[in-house]
Amino acid sequence: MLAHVLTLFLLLGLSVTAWARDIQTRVSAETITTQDVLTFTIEAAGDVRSVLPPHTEDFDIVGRSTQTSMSFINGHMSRTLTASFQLAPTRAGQLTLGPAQVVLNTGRTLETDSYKITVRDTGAPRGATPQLPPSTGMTSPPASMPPIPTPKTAPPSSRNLRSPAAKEFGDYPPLGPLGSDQLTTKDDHRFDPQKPFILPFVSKTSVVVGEPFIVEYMYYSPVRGLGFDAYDLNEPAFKDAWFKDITDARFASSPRVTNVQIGGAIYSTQLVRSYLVVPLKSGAFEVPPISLTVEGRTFSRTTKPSLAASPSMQVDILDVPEDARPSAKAQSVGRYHFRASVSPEEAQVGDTFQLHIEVYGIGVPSQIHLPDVTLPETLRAFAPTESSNSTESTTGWVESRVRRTFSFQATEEGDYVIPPITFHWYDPWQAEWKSRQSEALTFRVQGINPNIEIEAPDTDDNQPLRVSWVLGLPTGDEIPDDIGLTARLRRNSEPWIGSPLYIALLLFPLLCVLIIQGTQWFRRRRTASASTRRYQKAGPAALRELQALEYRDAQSFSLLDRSVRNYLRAREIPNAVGATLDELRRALSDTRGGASADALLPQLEALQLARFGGADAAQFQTLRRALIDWVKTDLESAP
Amino acid sequence: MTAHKLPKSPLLFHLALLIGLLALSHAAYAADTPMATNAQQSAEQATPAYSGDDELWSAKVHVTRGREAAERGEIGLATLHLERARYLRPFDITIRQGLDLLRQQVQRQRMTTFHHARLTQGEAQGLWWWRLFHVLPTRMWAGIALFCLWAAFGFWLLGRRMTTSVTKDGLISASVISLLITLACLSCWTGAVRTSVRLEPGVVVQQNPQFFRAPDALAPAEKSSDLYEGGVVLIRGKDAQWMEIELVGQQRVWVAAHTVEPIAITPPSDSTR
Repeated sequence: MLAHVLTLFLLLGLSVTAWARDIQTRVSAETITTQDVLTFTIEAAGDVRSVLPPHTEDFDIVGRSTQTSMSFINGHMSRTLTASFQLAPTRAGQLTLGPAQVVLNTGRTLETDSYKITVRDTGAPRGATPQLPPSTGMTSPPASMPPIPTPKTAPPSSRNLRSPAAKEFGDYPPLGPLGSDQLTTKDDHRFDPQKPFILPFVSKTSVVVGEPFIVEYMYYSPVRGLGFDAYDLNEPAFKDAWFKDITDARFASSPRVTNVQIGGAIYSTQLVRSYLVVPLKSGAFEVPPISLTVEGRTFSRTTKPSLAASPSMQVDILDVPEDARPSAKAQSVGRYHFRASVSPEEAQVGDTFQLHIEVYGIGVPSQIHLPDVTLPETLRAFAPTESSNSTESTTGWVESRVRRTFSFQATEEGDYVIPPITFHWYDPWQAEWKSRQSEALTFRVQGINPNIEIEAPDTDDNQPLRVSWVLGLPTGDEIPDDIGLTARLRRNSEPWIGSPLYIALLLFPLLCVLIIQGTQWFRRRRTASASTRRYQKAGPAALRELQALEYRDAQSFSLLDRSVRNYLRAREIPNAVGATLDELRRALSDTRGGASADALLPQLEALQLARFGGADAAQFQTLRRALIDWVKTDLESAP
Repeated sequence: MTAHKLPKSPLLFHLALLIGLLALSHAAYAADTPMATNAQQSAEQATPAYSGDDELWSAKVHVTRGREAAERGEIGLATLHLERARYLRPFDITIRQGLDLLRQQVQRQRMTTFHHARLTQGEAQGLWWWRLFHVLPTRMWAGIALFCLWAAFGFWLLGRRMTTSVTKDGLISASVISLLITLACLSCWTGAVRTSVRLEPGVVVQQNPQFFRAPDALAPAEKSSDLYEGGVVLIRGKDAQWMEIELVGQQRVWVAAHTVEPIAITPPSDSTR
């Protein structure tokens, strides 16, 4: 029992170790000043749903980014989620950072390591508590069920954020703060001023297919004695669009809670959800409603729960404009940077070169269509690999990077030139087609690598690239030219059901065996029958012979003796004819018992005496009758 | 006449008889097959240039065509040609390895298409017996059985007259073993004849094959994960336009006649008959 418990604990420990092995954390520095910003990075591989920041009052989160990296190599996908948090210390001293939490798709939550951070005091911390912005002036709505006011520009965040630097692809598209008039909402929505309500905001009301835009939902709660609790959020589902929750990024760049004045009443506003949406289909796009259950609460009473739902909005999704479109294959939408490179620039025949083309910018990987590449014919190309990853910037935009690597082998020496590669895309924020062309890529092949076997490339352009498994099939050269015995036999009409000659040849040995064995059996049987017949006929023959004998001379006694001995030879005493009287006695005692021997032996002794000592006819008759009686007695007692 | 006094002449007679019978059986066997085994003709047939329908019966040609079909992506046709090559050269390890490789690809493609596979590769049940008995041609089964029977007879003749000795035990044992092999070969021969008559395997050569519940073009066409390009099925009946086939689980369906090609090679004279 104890062993089982120990084994269980050991297995549990191993499983936890296995999970923890896929999560790595690091900090940019362990000693900082109060003016510095610390970066806390968490990398989690596998099926990770989200990464939650560390809960601590010693640090303010001034920025965050998440990056999902997926790579497909030979059909195998690997996924890594990297979350980075920019943390500003709120005080000096020895501070504890972490742990952060990693939520797996299975629902399980794992905790990361904690760090001890030393913060030296060099002045007021950057991450000091921000000031709430003043409420903005609002137009006066009607007393009851007022229309929604025109969205106003929210005050800029008081957080000391660094402005995002210009990237290789250019500036980020403009994106207004939460609830500002740079965003558009449904301005004819009517609501109950006494209850909380939700409004949807979009960054643009008319976009093209593939253009990212922001959809976010703001929660407005009247500020008065009755407090409201909101729960049971009903998440929206965007049809025919790719979307990503960027609420954390928007939180990082805007104040969480502000107060606004609508129709004389003050509302507390809060971001519920913010999504980056990329439409995949033209037409009318409906921003789906979102709903919350709200419940008023005071010290003494609680109101009945009610549903606060946002109204739905429509965004027009247009096709990518055809005017000035460079080619039909130009389908990428976003704002990108493109580059191409080849490595190494000099190698030997048989070495493998790699051509990398990469597109990086604002957009999603599915909307990035890499350009076609034409390689020189004397290169032997292998299957390309492709990888992509997306990063959520601190402003909320999603930056994507798609990289395709072509591997090829040079089969001849020389200087090779890959023509310039051009990438076209449509920039929806500037409403124009753009393109970027790489320089012609050159590389030199000089010398032959002796360790690599070169296979000439296919010269026929229409011949498809041979896949590796086909190369494992036999080519036919391994098979002998002779069609072989099996093929010849099969050619002569299968199946072959035999012929009379074959059946005869098959039966002949069997018949031979039967005949030979039968003959032996017959012979044995016949031999046994002859001996039996001799045995049975010996008695009557002896009796007939004895009764027929008449006395003539002394030789007559010899005839009596011979008849008896012949009888005995036929009846189980084979050597009776030449045996002495003692030998006869022993044989008779063995076969018939002592009494029979005692009855016969005196008669045989008398015969010998009479034959050599002289006797008359009367003695002959006496001995003859005695022998006849003995034979009759012997026959009766025999089986 | 006792055993130890057996003169040599009957033994020699038996040996001569056995050799004569074997020679006679070989002559009869050769006369019944078109081999016409003389050295000159064998040398002529060993030339790589095939004539007439020799291409049909050449495993080399089928392997080459199978490879070409695989390169074109016609996996069903490639499977058919390699199955025929194995039918003609059953013990060629190169063909077997190529067929195994092709089968792996067929199953991989099947998994990609249907997300479903069977450990038995979805073949009809009777195919196992067909493959077992058709390792050799029926004539070869019969020939081996006849040879082993005569060998058993010879061993028995030699050993029966001997007095008890190691040689006699060895001869009698060899005789019994030969007799057992004879029985096994005879069983395989009858099995091969029976399966040839009752079972006709074929390979699905059409891409994305569909089946019908009735031999009618108006019947709805359906797809099944057990009917896939490169799969081996049993042909149960056919006419000019339709073919009834048996899939795994003894389910019988109808397909267009060009969907399935039989593995057994039909000479042109038979096919036009």
